[in-house]
Amino acid sequence: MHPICAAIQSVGICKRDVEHDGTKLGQAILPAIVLHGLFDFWLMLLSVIAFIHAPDLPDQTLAPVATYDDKEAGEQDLDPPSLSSLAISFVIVAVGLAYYFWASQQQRQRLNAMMAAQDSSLSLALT
Amino acid sequence: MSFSTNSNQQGPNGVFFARLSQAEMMNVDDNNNNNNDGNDDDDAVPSLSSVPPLRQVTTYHDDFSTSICTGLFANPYDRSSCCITVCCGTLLQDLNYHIVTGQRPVPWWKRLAVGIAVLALVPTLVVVAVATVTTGDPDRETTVRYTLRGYLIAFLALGIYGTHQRKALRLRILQDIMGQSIVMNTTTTTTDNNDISTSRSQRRLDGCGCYRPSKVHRCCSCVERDIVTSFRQIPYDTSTDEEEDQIRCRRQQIDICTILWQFLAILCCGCCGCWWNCWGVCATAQEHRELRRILPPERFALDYVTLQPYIEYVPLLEQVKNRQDASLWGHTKALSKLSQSILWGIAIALLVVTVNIFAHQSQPVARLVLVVATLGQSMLVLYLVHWRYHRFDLSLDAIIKLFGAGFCFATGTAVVVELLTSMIGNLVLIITVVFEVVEDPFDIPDANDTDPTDNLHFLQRFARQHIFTFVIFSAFNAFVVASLTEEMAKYFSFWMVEHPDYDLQRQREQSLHTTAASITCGMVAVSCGFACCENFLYIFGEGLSLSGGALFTILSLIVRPVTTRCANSQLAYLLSSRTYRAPSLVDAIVLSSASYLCRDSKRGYLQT
Repeated sequence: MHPICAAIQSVGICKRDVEHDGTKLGQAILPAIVLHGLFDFWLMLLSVIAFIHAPDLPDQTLAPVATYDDKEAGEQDLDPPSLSSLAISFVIVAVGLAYYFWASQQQRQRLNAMMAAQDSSLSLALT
Repeated sequence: MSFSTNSNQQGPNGVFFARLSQAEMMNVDDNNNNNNDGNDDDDAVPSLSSVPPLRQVTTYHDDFSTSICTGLFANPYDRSSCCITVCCGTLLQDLNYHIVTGQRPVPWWKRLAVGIAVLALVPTLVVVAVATVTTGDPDRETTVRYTLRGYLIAFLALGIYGTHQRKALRLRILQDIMGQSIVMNTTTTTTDNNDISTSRSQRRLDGCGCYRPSKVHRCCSCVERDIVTSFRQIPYDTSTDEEEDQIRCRRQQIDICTILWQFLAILCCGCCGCWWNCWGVCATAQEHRELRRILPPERFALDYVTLQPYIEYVPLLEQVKNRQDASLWGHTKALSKLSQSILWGIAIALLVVTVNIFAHQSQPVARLVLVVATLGQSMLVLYLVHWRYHRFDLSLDAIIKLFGAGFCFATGTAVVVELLTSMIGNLVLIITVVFEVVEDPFDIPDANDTDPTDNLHFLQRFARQHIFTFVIFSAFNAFVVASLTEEMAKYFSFWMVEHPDYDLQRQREQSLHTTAASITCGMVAVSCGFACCENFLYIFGEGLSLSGGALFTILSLIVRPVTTRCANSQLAYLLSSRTYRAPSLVDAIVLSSASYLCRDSKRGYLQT
């Protein structure tokens, strides 16, 4: 999640520093903050919901921590909240990746246009 | 309005304008000079006479060209100011020291050795002292409490020592600004210029209207406003227009950080007219800005920490780029000392972790695989993002430094800021719980109740009845405590790294795509370092949030000796939360704090 958010941030920072379109820092990092916040928010919300609706509180919530010593790999509990968390995590990561590729593609086109404009102005100056 | 010429170069409030030449000597109206309310801009004042025009000019105490509270982010394009936010400004202080004195500061290995010695010595002394005083087995809680207090005392002692060092450097910088020596022990005051400077120096040191260097560099101090507005004749100069253009440009560049900083400054100045200065961070930033103004930029072409000049390794980076050397060995040979140190640090840390795992923990191979996988996923991302496609757009040297910045600085900054912001959220939740307890006191379990299920059932009932509160609390934690803090920490960790690859002149010579790719690779490298450190915290500890919670508990232990039992219950819960899951530390703090707040109520239903 962190590298995706950083890549999304970098698109905004490039708009500010390379394209010089007047983008402010808040605008540059806002999409990354929203994506990261959504990711954390859903996970927290699911844990709260799971806690509220836990039918047998002592057994489920006070069970000793599943340390690496106690559980073999692959023996992790995949209860509905965990599965929901996993699914939502994948969805948000996929949305973040798609947004980054879309924004990056748009930026590449803008940079190409800027470079073409620079080249044309240079050739005009030479002629 | 009358203007008088001040012949002895002394301005209002004891401020001198030593940088002004005799031709620019100001005319000052002592009756009309008031401290400006935070407006540090130069505003034109209509002149009363035709020539020469008088301009309102803002100056600052001790002849600095910027205020001590100009803001760490006043100029969004100033990378060095961000560096002040890590390690209490130690990195920037070292750079200032090296630039001013030409000497190298105390090596980092010595500082680490002192820190480790303090960490080891304090508990040993406490255990010995407790065992001597109390015959028999020493009480564990007492030992922990006195150890924490010992750490606090050692922390303060080291802080005072650092204050003296920073004070000496500030005096040296003041000396350079004024261009004349500061004599500290002379008391004569005559009309002679030299003696005037002596008087001024004494005033500065005594704090009569001016700042004392030790004051601005204390561990924690309130610093008066340092803005002084004056009127003086400024002859027409093209540089004046350029300065105005720069100021106008900066106004247009104001971003969210500047606004946040200004908001904090207003909050601090609103009540007492003072700025809260901690560890001399703002003073160090002010000194650095002044040095940047005085000295040529070539003097600052140095790496942090190792203070290696760029000129020693930039040609090697250029050679690799020009040769299009695609081999890893070729890039590795061009690394700077700092990058080599980071790689050695990673290797030594891995070795220590491996030895620790094989010596003290079960299933060592599986744990080692976990550690290597954590590091490996960051390496994989960096390989895909940087090495595979953009190895010539941004050097490996920069990637290693940015990874190190993300690993060390971004995580540390995020932990501290998350601790502070989560305290606000926890406080609101605690108040909510307390109100609930006051309304329905018999629901809350007895604090002496050792059955943790009662606490959990209370929390569960409370959460069911106040689901909206918990949703808001989760949103606050997710969007503000975690997301905003971590993204800002990552951004500033990227922004604070000054590397030749991000030199503006170099960026103008390369294509736009290369510049954009270098920014993307750099930010991803920082985030990989941050994620790697965060994952290590989750493997070996309980993650960032619990680190903040643990710090909160430790602080409670130190600063609230009256509520020892409450703090002890928190500590006990902290220790127990390492053994049991779902009841988080926040719940423990909420319960124990609510119990403490209700302790003195007339009903006395809580016997904490």
